[in-house]
Amino acid sequence: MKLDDLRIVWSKEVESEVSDSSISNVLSMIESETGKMDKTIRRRDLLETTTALFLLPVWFWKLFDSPSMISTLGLIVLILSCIFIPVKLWKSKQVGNRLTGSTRDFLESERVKLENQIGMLSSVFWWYLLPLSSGIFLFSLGVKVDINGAPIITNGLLVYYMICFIFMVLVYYMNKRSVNKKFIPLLQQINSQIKELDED
Amino acid sequence: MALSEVMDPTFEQIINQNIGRLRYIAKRYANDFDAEDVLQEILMQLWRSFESFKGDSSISTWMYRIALNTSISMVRKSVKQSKLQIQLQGIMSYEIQPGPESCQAEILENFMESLKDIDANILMMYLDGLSSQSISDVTGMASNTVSVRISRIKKLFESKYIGNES
Repeated sequence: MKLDDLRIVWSKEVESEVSDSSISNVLSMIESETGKMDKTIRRRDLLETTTALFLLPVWFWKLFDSPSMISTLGLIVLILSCIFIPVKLWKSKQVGNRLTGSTRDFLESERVKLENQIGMLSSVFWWYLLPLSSGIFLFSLGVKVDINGAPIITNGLLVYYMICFIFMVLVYYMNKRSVNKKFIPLLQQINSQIKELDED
Repeated sequence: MALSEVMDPTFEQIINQNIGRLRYIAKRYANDFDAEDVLQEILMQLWRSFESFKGDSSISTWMYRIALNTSISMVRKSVKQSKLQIQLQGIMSYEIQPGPESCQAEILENFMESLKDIDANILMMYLDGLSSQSISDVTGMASNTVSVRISRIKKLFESKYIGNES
């Protein structure tokens, strides 16, 4: 028995035994499901951007009514963060899937996408946590000041900072865990698939 | 515009002619989730890219590229059960009628199982009559590498099943 003998078996195996009406039903559902999924993705992307854009006027309004220099500085950091973070997120999504390309092109694009995600998650402290936390820290610190402009630190403020700190540490470690547990193994898997293509 | 109004005749014909191949690929890649999930995603991606398909490559090349790439990416995510998947279960439940080829079908299935994904993909396309150049277009491997792989797969098959006439 030779490999070419299996051509007949293969053609039998892939022979369509599906009625035209079931295919029509499936295809009309595909059309509606695709539309729904596209809408969901558009809504999610819009939500990410609008949350930041919605906060911008709030920070600007506060800027003109700032109680102290420290708060003003915090608000400027928050305004810049609200512009910078969505732009960074948007840029990271610009690598397409290239499903219509060859397996190699697709795997290469997946590798680039994963490396970007790993880079983003690994540096989440610098581009997300640090600007937001320092902005919030400065703004809240300057809300209550004495006549010399020095901040008055209350117990409530200390508790607030503690909660913020725990939240930031949690976000940082969750991202770090996700890189090590999920993204690095995926990257290794893609690399081995690319290597498989190169083997002669 | 509705799919059935404009693109449906051609798209439907393509799917109708290739549903068996797509089903086979979906089953091959279905590990942690159902083959219906994989088939659904393949059909969605084919539909999405159908409008931009300008015939630069053959339909088989275009279809294999999207089906294989989608299946590879599906291994990395999970999909919820939907009404569409229930409909697809009907398509997936098709079984080969017992006959003289059924034993050979088993041999084919076992042999496919023993191969790495990339070699199984090459074998599928080879059995489908795609040339080394077309397989190279789908996989991104050099054409002569594809030929080397095919001859290696042939040797492996013969070493396993030679003289095994059924």
